[in-house]
Amino acid sequence: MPKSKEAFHHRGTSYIVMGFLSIFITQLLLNLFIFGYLELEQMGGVWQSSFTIRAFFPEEVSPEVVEDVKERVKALPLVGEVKLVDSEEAKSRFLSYFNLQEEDLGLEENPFPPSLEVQAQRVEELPFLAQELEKIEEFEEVFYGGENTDALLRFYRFFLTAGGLLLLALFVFSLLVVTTVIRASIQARETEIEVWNLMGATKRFIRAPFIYQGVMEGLSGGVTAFVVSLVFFHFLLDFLNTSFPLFFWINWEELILPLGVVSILMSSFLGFLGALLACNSIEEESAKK
Amino acid sequence: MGFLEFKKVYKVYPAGVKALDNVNLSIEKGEFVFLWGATGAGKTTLMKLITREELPTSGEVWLERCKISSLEDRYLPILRRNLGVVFQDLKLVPHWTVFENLISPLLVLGVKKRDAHRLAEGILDLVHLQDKKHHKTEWLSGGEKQKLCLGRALIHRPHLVLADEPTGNLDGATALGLVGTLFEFSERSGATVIIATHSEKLVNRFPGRLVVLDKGKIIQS
Repeated sequence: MPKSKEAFHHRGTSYIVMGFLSIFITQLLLNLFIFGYLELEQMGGVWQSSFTIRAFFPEEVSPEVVEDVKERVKALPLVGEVKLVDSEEAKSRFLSYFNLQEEDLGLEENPFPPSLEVQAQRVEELPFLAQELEKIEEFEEVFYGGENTDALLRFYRFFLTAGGLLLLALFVFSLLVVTTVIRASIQARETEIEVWNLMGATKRFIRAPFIYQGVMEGLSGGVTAFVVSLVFFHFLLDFLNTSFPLFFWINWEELILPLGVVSILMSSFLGFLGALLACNSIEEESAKK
Repeated sequence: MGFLEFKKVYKVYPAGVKALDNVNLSIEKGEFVFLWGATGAGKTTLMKLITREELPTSGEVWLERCKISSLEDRYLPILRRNLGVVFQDLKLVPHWTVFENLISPLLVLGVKKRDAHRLAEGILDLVHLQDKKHHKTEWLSGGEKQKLCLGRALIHRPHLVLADEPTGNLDGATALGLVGTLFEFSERSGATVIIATHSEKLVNRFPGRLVVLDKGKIIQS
């Protein structure tokens, strides 16, 4: 059976190229953002191990209470890992930190209280988790990185928010471009559309080739952007790993799946949505006439 | 009720131009009708009310017991698929080939490609455009375009064929040949054919009902 997409087989090459390029460029920018986001996530993971909340028990606390509190803390929703530092380990850490011997302290009893080292599931949840721990009466004192940590967290949050907004703006921009391109494409084929209408073609029949065009442009732009991005990031990460080997760079292989999925799904969805919006707006305009 | 019925139809365009004035007309199935009148008599408006390119200002238009004057837009494709129309301004897509223009009603109907090819071959023979099958439509002469438009109107064997000034720019012999094709089609298939024309010669050469329009009113039916 003849497909309705065959109905508009003389599509203007310039419109196809415009649609392809707009999605390709947008997708490239999106891929750059995804790279930045994943890198930030990676750094977040590193920060997470550095930013640990220390919750101190009173000196005279019993081992049963410590165990009980540890279990309660583990059960809190924001908690990642919990480690018990008993009085002995606390003392040996102190000695090791200041490069001292036990005799140098001259203490008969161990004055270091046991504590819990608590990591949050996500680094940005650290202050909220610290507040939760402060509510536990058995703790005498709760410490976390304070101002420095807050400053870093603010930066982290700002980056995520700005990135999210940028992502949204890019999506809207891309949608506008695709819609405009498909609209122009539809307007260039007004004669065909009028003829199809008069021949008794349904809305679906008339829309189908434009939706098909949108999805294909999206898909081809997305796949091309995916391949180009992968090649680019391969060389970029090679360079970064060589130049800054101590920094925590993401592995190139880790990029393949997220970039592939986002490139293909997002771009074909963009193409589809753009074409649908263009068809709707043209139909609304012609209905008003 | 007739196959096609106009009941107290008025059509006034926004500028205040009265195109149809209380038109009452009934056409039976299989009739071959000439709608005759001078330019501006309202022939094209009458045709457009049937194809639902226009709506009447008041009154009713019925086709096969269906009130097409109040048909919802979503049913328009069904109405139009059952019509064969030779438009006054042809409505051909210039950059499509003769074949592509010809089979467009079949594509809309979802006819299989093989059947579409077979039907197209028959119509190309009928309208003498076999040698132009793969030519771009914009390369055709005026007469050839009229023939192509006629072929497209007949290819899906509609029950009602409307031809609005189909011989407008044609020489006498070609015009007669074209109307002759329509007459034969009507005879053979039993389709109703309505031809809007201002040519007295044509009207006199073919047997058929004559409906005369003057300033939007039917003065002979």
